[in-house]
Amino acid sequence: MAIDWTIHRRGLFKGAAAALLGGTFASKTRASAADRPAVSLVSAARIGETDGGIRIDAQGVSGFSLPGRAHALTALSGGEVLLVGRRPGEFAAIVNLEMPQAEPRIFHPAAGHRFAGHAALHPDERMLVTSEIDAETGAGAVVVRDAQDGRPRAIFPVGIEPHDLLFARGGARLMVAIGGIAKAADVKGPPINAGNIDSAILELDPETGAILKRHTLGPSLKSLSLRHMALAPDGETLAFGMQDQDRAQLRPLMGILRIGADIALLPLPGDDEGSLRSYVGSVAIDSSGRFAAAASPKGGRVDLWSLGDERWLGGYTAADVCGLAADAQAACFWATSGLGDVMKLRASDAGLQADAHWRAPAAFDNHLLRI
Amino acid sequence: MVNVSRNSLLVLAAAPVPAKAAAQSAPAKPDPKAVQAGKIALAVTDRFVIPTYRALVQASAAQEAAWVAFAAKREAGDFTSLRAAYNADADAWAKAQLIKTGPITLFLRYDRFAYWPEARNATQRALDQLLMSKDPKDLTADSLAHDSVAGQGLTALERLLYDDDAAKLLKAPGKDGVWRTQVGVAIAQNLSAIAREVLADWTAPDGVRAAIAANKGWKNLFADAPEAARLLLTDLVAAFKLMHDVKLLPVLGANAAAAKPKSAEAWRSGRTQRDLALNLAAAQEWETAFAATAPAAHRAKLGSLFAAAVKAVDAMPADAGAAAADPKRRARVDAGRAAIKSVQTEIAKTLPGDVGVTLGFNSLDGD
Repeated sequence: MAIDWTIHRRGLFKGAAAALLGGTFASKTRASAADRPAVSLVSAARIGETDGGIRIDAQGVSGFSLPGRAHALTALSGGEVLLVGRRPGEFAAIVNLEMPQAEPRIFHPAAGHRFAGHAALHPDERMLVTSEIDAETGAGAVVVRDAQDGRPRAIFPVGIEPHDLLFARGGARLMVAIGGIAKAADVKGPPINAGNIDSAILELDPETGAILKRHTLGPSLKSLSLRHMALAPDGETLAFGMQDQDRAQLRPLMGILRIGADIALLPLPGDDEGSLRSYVGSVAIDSSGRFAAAASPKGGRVDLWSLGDERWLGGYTAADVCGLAADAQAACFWATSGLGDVMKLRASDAGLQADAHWRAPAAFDNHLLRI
Repeated sequence: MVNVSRNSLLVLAAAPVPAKAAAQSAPAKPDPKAVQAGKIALAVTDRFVIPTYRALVQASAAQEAAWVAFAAKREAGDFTSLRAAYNADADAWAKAQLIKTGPITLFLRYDRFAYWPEARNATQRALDQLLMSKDPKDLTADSLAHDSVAGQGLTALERLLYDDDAAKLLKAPGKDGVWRTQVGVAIAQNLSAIAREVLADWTAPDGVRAAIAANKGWKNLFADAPEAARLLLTDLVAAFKLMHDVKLLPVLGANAAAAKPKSAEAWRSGRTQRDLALNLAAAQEWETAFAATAPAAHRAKLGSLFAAAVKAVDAMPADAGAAAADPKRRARVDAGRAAIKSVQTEIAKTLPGDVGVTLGFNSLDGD
């Protein structure tokens, strides 16, 4: 049944692509190599009415269809990328970017589970992990999978609603953001514990699932859900972003975690403390490890902090911006929006400025991956 | 085949945008579109939002009074008056349910007023806890404000009124009946207080309406009137997602055998179809206020799609959830769903441009 549906979606996609083809044909002849970004980026996206993904590179922009809306991306070996279905996700797709005509390889959540939208690959590439939620009980788990075919090998229970995850300290630590927003995974309903969220970032032993440390927030911050993380090049420092389920007062939305040490919270934007609208959608740390950036689509801005002295440095306004990835070059980020913007942002102690800006006829979804 | 060819992909290609033009808008002189959007936000506030909350305050106060009166002569009390008051309040909420911008988002008021859709049995569990506690401190406003959102709203009240033996349990002699009634009184008072607070936050001299009228921000929810317009339009678009994606799709399932009647909203009180019809009527009132400046052709098209949807939803069986699982009646539920979808598609297509706001994608429903 799932296969029929997939083919059906692809049929739709051809239609959508054809429509785009007509609409922007004029720009083709004018486009030169200099007009294209010198980077390779991948994101989940909605193209017309079709859920899929988009790759941007020096060749241009290419699209592929997926069985549904995807959320975050993980680079695999051999030019493959994993896109995980958005919560409550029922598929994960391995797409080979070198062979764009090939069928994506699909795998599914563990029995009775839904994906939470995120995955991570161990640095030695033998272990893939996904964050999942039991559709009946809402209980969360990290599922350890074979990195080649995605087959489950082990399941570690981790608490209510795990979201983002990543390997740190060269693979010796598995960091898991526990969003803590309790609801049955199938039901896209309101959280039942919005004022009393049990959110945390866990340090796990990736071999056994043993919880080595549980990083939590103070009792006055029980409405915050820790959801997204980025790792600094040192492998030890994480920036994390949160969303606040209670907007009656302003609370921090960004923080730094150093493995083994405690959490430090970063200040809200200095020009307008409410400008992130209680919501951070994704975070990134630049390749030098000096800067952390956070995107808020509800606030329509990307903000920048210094990791060294934990200062807010500035913000950049871009409607519906959410996708964020560090460039290979220091002090440089890529950002995408749901309105089709692709922006190259330069970071400095004075904040962020756009070096370049493109627009594609597609809605880029939450997360952006640079290959 | 997964992909369009490389050549055609170039066509999809991003066009370079001058670095400043698109993202960084310099607020030098007021953009006429933004001014228009601000005016529309005020019109929606005055014609739809505030009247809707006024009605919610009235219905909630009447419900509170009904419970207090019932409690005073409980064993001989008029149980039907409680159900009537509940239905009037649920009617008012079916309109207010679409508004997710503004003070209803503070202090978890939205979820506290009506926790739905509910995670597996959360309302029952929270209500059972209250019913077993017998500690008056658990029924204070302050306690409820920090307690599970599932145990204190319309969804909990519905169980007190429509579960088996509801009347008998409330009228039962002795402590159990007294306490059960006190729980109902506390929930009704809680609903009434939330409605009053929300209306006051909209209408106070330093409230949301005044902020929109002055093109200023309110708390940290929006920065100016155009942003308020964007949030209100986002709510209107989301209202159709609520009706279609949340209220109908999961209930319908792929076929009658896969339907989930008990995932339907307010199935206990038999309000599933009624709530949808009221949602739709509210959405049309809201849309009319929004589309005042839209081209006549757009308004006419939306008007006819709304009319078709109203007709189709009116034709749905009252127990739409159970009907979804009944091969004979299912088609009428699905026809309502399809008609709602048609309005949704047209609104998303034309209204943002006509109002002068750009709707986000990631900002709609972040994760």
